[in-house]
Amino acid sequence: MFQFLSMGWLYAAPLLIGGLVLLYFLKLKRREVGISSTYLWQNALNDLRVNSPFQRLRTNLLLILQLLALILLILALSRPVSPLGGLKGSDAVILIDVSASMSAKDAGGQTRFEKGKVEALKVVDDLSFGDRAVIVAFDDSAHVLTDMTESKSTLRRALEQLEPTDRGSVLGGAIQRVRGLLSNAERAPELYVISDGQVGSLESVTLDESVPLHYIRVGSSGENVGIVSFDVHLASGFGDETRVFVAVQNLGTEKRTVGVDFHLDGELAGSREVTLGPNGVSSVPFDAPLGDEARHARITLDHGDDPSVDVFPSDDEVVAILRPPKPFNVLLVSDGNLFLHSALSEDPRVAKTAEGAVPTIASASYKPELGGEFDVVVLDRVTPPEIGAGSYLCFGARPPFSGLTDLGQIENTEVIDQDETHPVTRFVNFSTLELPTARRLKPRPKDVIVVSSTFGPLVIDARDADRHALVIAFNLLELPLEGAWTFDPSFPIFLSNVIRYLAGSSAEVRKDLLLPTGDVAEVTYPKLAVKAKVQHEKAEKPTEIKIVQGDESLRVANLDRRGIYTVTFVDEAGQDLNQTRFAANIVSTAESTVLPAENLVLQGGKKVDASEEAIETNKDVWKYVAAAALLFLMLEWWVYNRRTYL
Amino acid sequence: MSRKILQGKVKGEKRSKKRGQSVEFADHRMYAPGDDLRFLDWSIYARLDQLMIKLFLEEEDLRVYLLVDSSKSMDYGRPNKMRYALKVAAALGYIGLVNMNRVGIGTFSTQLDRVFRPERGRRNLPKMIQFLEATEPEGRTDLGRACKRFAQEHRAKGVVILISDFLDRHGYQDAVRFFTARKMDVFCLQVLAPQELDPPLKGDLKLVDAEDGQETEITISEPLVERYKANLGALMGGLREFCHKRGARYMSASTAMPFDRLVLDQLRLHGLVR
Repeated sequence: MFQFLSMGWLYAAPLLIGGLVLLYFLKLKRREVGISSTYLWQNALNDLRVNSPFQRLRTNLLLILQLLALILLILALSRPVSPLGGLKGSDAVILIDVSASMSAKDAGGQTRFEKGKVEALKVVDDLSFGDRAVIVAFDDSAHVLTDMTESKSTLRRALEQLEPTDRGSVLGGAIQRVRGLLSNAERAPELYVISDGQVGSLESVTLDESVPLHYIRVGSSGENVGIVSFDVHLASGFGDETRVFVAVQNLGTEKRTVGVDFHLDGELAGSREVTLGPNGVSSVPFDAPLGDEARHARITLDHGDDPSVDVFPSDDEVVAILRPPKPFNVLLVSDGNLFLHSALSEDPRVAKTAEGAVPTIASASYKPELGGEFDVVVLDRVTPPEIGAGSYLCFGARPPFSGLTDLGQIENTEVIDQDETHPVTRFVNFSTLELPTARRLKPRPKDVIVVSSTFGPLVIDARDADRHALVIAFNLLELPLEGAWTFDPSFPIFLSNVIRYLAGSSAEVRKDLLLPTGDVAEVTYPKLAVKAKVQHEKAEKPTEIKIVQGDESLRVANLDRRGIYTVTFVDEAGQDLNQTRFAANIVSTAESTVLPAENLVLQGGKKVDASEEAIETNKDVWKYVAAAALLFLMLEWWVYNRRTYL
Repeated sequence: MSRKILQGKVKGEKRSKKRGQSVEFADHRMYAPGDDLRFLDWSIYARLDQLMIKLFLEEEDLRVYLLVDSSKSMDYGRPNKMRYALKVAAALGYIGLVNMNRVGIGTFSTQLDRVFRPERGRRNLPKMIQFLEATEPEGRTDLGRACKRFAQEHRAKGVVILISDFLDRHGYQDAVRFFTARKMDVFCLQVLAPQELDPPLKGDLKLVDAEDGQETEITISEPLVERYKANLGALMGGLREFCHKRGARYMSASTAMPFDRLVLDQLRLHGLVR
């Protein structure tokens, strides 16, 4: 039995047919022509009518042919279908992949996402009367866009408004999410997955045998060279030099040569060329000189004369906001130590007072809470009864850590070993250190011995809850003046290493918030802020997020697009406070692997092969009806020219 | 100008069947006492030993009646039928007057509208032309009625040249009969426009009759045009045959033919003009 997919035309049929008949009976506007006599013309008309074999009927053949053609045209527009089976009284769950790899553009000019939308629309159009469907978009999470509905217009609208993201792809989670929709025993559910197949592992995914899974594959090529890793860190030693690293991988089957360009604040700051075989990876570094202000870094891949060979341009660019490292806030607690004072003053990354000196207090003025106000507190020959949370460098004294004991003084000890892998020993030579006296410290099992002497540890890396200390077992002022280690270049280098080590992440270039798409950014906010406006560089307007006071940081989720996000904090009065920026990038081998999968492999190795287009569930017969309408129209044209009458 | 020998009052150029004194021998008859012996045919007496008297033809003037259809249906075509018919009538009238024939003209539509009394001689030419020029198309066609009236008013025999399109719903038969019954020499000249012979009409039309304003809605098609032409051909053929059966002559002319060619060539061929 035939069904009609576009009933609207059938409802309009009485109006259209009535209109045609009405037009026909309206007086045809004829041109007046004066002639000598109508006598012979009347005779001719009468003769034609008399000679017609169907004169009794006197029905206009043209009207009948036009009505037939119109009826057939209306039927053709109503999309008659002869159901083949499949979606008959069933529920279709349409999972459409909107992850980053769907932005790949194979031959033909359309992206995979656009092709996927076309296939999804076909599934919707093929729904018969009584069938239902739901649209679920998935990347690394699932988004149910409609209810399970029979309304094709609702489904089409949801598909037309859909946009791809730059996030990864996790199909397993999406199938879990829609499992409830597939369990209606009164309907015949079917699952459609429209994707390129790069959807993560499905080993844990099981499906009821009665639920058919149709994998509609979009895309054809896997030729892609992309940036799969991006990092920024400070170069070793003093100075403001920063280094940017990208890893470039060839995920295609052909050997490729690409250019890697580094831009700083829009200007080309470096360029390299790499040649990669299939699956080859190359790490490319660039120096990034920083000043006092944040700088916009961008690294792009140049595919040369034929960029269309690379089907996935989204992973050809990474961006970051590089902020110069903030100065280290160091407090020197000492009753006088020229060596420490001088060496700390020489370190350009140590903050100075307005007078240009390192903040210094006498040991008697020390308070435990000071530990939280400074990045590092240097305790020179001081063992306070308690210290607060923070980082400490203790010279010639131990911190008040339980279990870390001072066993007394030792004499004439020398260095016998140092941990070359520890950050504080980098480029430091302790061999010239002469120690007429030193403290004999007994470390705890969890403490790390950095430098050892003949009588025990000389440098200990100790942690105690929220307190971190580097303990130096000797007093700088007791070192011999001649050839003293304090005059050796190793001493300021050692001090610099310790400051940067104890200051932790703040010692690094602030590349925090260099995130992959789909991740969650945690942004510190000012105390007066009540909300934040988050806007992607290409978005038309920002999204507002309310700040819950008491939370450690503001969590910014929905990083769907790669690029720069700007966060503006707003106070109660609606005034903008300060602003910060961060970047999100596609830096994932998984998402850069864009070769469409031949099949989906579920739990137990069950394979679902791909089909190139939506399963045909109805046989379209509108073409035959339209052809018949055309035949009647041609016959009507012929009769019009002949003007025969019934 | 006339095929038949017609009786006349004045001796004119045309031969008359009246045997009178002329030089043209016509026939013999038996001698009766009292006959003029000058007309005895002695050659016959020598051969047949019978006395026969020679008879001679008497010349008399010929009456030419020109009947011109001036109904509204004649005011049609390019060239216009009315103008064409008047030119032909003027040409024939001129020939008649110049040849000392009595020429009379009548214009008609539903009835006999205007009459130019038969006149003889070249001096009547301007008056005749003036009469023809003043003719305006009006009214419907009723050939029979007009011809009947003309025949009643003009009993003298002669040549009747009927110039019309003969598109008369009442038919043409009575019109011709009125003259042939009076032994008139009838010549029917059917004048038609090229647009009537091969209509250049297309599409959906409302035809309006020039005489009675009747409207006929038609959609031009090949079968319709063919049927129209067949009907026209039947009308012309029927008129030709009708005339032939009654000793009248018929000719059709398209206004596309120059009227001088019609008069000097075609009418000469048909014996209307010598």
